[in-house]
Amino acid sequence: MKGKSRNGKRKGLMPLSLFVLLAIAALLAGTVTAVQGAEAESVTREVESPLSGEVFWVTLTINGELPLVVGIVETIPSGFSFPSSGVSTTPYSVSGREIAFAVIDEKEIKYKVIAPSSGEGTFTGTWADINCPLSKEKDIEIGGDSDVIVGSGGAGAPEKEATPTPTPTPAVPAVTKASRVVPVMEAEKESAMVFEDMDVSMIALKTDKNVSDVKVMVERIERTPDIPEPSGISYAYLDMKVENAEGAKVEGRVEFKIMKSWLVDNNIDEATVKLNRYDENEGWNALPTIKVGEDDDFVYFEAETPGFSTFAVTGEKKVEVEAVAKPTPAGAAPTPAATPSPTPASKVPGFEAIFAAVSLLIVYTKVFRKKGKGGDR
Amino acid sequence: MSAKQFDQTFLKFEMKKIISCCILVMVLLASCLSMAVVPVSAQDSVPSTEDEIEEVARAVLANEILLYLRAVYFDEEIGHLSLEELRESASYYPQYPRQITDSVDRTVTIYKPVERLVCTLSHHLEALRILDVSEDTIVGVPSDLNPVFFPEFVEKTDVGGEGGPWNPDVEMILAQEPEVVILPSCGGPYGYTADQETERLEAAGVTVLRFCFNQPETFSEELAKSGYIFEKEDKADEFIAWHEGILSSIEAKLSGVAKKKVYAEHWPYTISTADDDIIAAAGGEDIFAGIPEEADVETLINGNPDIVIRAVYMGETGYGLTPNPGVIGRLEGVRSEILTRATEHGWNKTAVDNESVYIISSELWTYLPASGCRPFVGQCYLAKWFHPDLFPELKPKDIHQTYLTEFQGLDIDLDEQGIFVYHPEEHPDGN
Repeated sequence: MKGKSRNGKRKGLMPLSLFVLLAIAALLAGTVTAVQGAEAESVTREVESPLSGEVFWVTLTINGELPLVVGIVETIPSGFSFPSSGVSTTPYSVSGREIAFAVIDEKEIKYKVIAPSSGEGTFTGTWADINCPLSKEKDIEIGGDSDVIVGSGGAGAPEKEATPTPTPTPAVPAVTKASRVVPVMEAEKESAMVFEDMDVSMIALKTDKNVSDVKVMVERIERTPDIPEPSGISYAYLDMKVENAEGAKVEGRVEFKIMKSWLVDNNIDEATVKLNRYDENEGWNALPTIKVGEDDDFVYFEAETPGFSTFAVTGEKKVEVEAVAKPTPAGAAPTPAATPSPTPASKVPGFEAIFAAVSLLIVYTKVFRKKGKGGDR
Repeated sequence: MSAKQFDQTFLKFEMKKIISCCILVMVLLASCLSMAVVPVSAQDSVPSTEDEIEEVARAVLANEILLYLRAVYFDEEIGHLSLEELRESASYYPQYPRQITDSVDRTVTIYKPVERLVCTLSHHLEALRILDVSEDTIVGVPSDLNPVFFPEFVEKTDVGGEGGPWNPDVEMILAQEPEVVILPSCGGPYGYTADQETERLEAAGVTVLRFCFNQPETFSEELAKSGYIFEKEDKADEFIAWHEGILSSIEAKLSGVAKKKVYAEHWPYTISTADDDIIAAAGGEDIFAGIPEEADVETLINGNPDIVIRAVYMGETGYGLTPNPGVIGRLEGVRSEILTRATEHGWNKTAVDNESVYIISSELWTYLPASGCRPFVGQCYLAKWFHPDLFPELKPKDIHQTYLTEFQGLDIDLDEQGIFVYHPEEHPDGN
């Protein structure tokens, strides 16, 4: 096997085909084999809000399952610099405004940067997966925060992840995760922040006392099994968290948007769209939600929340005269589209209600009898 | 072949570059290099546990990644692996890379399991057999292998060249496309060192390991390092435990015991410093310790040795021979010549008076390549000869047999063949 060598004289490593043979042979012999580790999926950056002339941290998150082996090169903005020592605990090498990292089995690394007295700039970086097929591309751009303004505390553009978080709806926005830092919040004064290309387009916060460096994080998530489904048809689940509030009560307004196509495809009555907040003790609570506008693609809503945790955006199907509560076949899991809408009782004609009740009774009786027979055996 | 290392060519390149740079550039370079946290790679002890192996692998791999990034992204002119090479090595992480310091203080890195290996000396081959390294891995062997001792290797490609094992044919070695070549760390005849071969092979991208495998003081460490490199840690540990158990029991019994004065030659009045250590380890003191080549009679007379040892080369002794009258007669002839010479030259005192003149085969002595990894068997014989009262239970022949059967996998029965020692009363049959 020939290839590039140190000083250009080295023989290269073995071709991929030989790898496979080696792996098989080694399996048979019980020796060390080449094992393809879990590939790194993406690398995202989070930048602390820098103060004039101060040291601040940049965090790089490597997404993927261990074992991970990744090479990263970051370039910090002009005017910014590295401390003379102790830049990071991860093996690194610095050259000017560039820093290279050898990341092995770490999912998060941090490095220190010194901010100039003022100004702004953009972090850039690339990464290459090392523990992966030989042909995998390199020089993959690092996502997440990139722009930074000294003294503003407003670091970070929304994090653009390589693989958006899957959701139960087809409407996945371009950005699924973002964070903002509010340097100073005066008591009872609202501080608003805007998000682009996300389900949430704006969050306005209000605290009951003065606080600083409050961090707001928004992420589109999947519902976990320990959280029940909210009432209605779910459009998206969101994690909205506030950190560093120093014990202050934080409430706010959340502006979010829903794709018009989703409303149409699912026959959703936009008047029923709600932002629901989840509480471990109380379950889902529908928040006061109103429509505030629309454009060609989206309808915009705003909800008021007394706090921040897990949220769900839901809507209910339009009420149709022909609609009947069709019973779900026994043993079959209902799909969201087939889930009967919780129709207000006052709007259900008496005949349909009686018909539905009789139908359910028949199905219930059949299932009950089947189970009873099974139990006798 | 892909096992790589920081080779000497690279180091020389760096040196030339530094020397040629002006002070300002050096300062700038130093300031840049100082802003780096790189992992420690070479280690003092041999990694043996999974955690230790992983720790070294992590440090070495991280270092290689940084070298690659510095070369590719910082445009530094440094030797580095390609991305494909890094990815292949990483596919063996955390078992690889493996890194050791060989016996001439070179840092050697192995990036993946070794599949093609060349040996230029037979005792290296013997050490690999202790480790149970697959013979299929060994694609080139020394010249003049003893077919009795190395039956499975006689058909392999001979890389010895015209100069024999001490002057291997580098072109022939390269033709075998080895990933690793083991060269001697000890010197050979006529001032031979393997430095030139090392440089040529490394320039061709071959990883070179330099080991001696013949010196008692370094043998265990070299075997442990080789066990680690070739994923045979268990075999190395097993042998080292057995080997050191024997030697430490000898050492323990010799503690505080007066040393016997020893004269050892391998030709009339021709001596070597190579046997000083083995004599000392067996409870003796070479009266010519530190003196190479020639023994003078006056020192012999004044030194009055308690024991005389004569090393006899292969052909007259060794595996495959049987104690027939011809063989034993030749050894008796050698011994008689010593006794006659001692009488003629006036040093026929203690050793001669006591009949303490012993013949030992170079197969169990310290002269390469004949002695292989077996000087410890010779040491057992010496200890018993020097201090017979201390070692009534020591059975050098049994130890030799265990070594051949258990650790070399050889079907050699020492009751049926082999001439290794001679003394008319203690070892009349040469074993």
